[in-house]
Amino acid sequence: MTPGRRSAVVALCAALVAVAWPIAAGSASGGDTADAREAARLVRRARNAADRYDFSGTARVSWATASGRRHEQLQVRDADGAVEIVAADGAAVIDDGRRTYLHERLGWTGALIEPAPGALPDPTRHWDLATGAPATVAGRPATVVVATRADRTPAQRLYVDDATGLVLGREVLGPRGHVQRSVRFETVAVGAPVAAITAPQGVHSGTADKLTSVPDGYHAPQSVDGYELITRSKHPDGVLLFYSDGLFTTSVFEQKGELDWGALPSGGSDTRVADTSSRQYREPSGDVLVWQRDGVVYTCVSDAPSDVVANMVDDLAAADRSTVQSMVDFVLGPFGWH
Amino acid sequence: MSEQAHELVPEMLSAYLDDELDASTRDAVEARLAASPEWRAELAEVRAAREAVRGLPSLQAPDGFWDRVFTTVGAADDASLDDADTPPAAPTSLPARRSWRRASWLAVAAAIVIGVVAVIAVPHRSSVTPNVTAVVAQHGAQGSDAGDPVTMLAPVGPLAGFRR
Repeated sequence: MTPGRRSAVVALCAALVAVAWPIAAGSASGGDTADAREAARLVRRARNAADRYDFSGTARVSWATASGRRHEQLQVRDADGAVEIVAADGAAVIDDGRRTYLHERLGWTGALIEPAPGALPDPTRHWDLATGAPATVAGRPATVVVATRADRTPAQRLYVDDATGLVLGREVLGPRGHVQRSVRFETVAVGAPVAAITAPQGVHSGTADKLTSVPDGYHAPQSVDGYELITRSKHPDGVLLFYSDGLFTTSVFEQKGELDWGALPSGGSDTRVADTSSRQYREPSGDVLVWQRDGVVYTCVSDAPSDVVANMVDDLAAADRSTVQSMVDFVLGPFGWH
Repeated sequence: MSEQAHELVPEMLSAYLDDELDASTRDAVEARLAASPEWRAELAEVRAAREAVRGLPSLQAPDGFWDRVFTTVGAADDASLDDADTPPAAPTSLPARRSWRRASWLAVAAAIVIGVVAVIAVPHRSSVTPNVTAVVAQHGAQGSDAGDPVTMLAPVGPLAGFRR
């Protein structure tokens, strides 16, 4: 190859790299492509679709446990923005928009009324979003919105109804691609008359007070591993924080005192959170982690994949460690006095 | 027999009070007591301690207690035979032993004081039992307000691990 030709080849390669680099970089970051914007639009649309349409059907909930995969079929109906979900054994939940009621063996109980959440973060800030191949769920055409981690492994697949924007299915995936939890309609009728959903009578519902800041002794970082603090509220026995990264949500309930490990529900497994002992539960609605640090008991619930929850909780637990506290841990650690 | 022929140690004072020493040893101890105010003070302490113990009410040991004690001591003696080759420690002087004993009592007293202060002064935290089921339900309710209600609330319905 002559020097002139060699120079031309080098220049051509440089030009190709210059053109390809931004494309590759944009793709890797999930960036600002038209497809990513469309995927983000579908996610935002899906948040409020249930308020605009009445529907009824059956849904299948599936989740992985230590003893294998479990399933549950549920009756779902939505009327005028109120949702009722009933399990085969009679367990039920009703959400009328402001209050949420649970029905179990002992009858109805009412959850506290939560302050309305503020604006959620843009899901593309933390996730790479893309639309996947067309799908059909419960006989309805749907678009799959895939959220991927930085390492390109999928974290969630959302099946969004093309006609209405309703979420027809949701799969949360672990880092190796297996489905950790899923909810998927098996049958659904949209627009057909649905009987009104009435809240149970005589059920006490308290009100959680919205807080602008948390009282002394509680910890409420504004941002944790991509999650933004959406609301904080005062409950009779603690403080509840609600975080979102635009795609997944995490609740953190803080109570002052000493954790009574023996009184925790059975079925959990022992693990570590930021070098602190923790009890973990894998539930159909998400991962639950309970731990204690510096005189505060934390109960964390998240619908994110387990690895994402672990990172978020590690950051949350480590975020409030002062130098003095770290030194105390260092000194007392060998004696097991955590 | 001269005092030097007897290796006098404070433990002999208890036997001295019980009149269990042979004549020559008893003479040596009395000679030491006459010459040493420290030995006399030690004798007074031993005598006071014995009287205090005698003042305690007597209790009847349960059946088989002493059999178990002797069995345990015998086992300990057997184990100590393994250390028979170890040379005995050199005798310690009386002032050094008394200092060590006082230091031990001081350490015990300090530990008790510290323990009492810790129990009284350190604030007690109340025991917390998180209502995990309620927090999970609360999360579903809050999440349904912030996003799709079905996928947030449907898993709350089964709540298999806690409710069943």
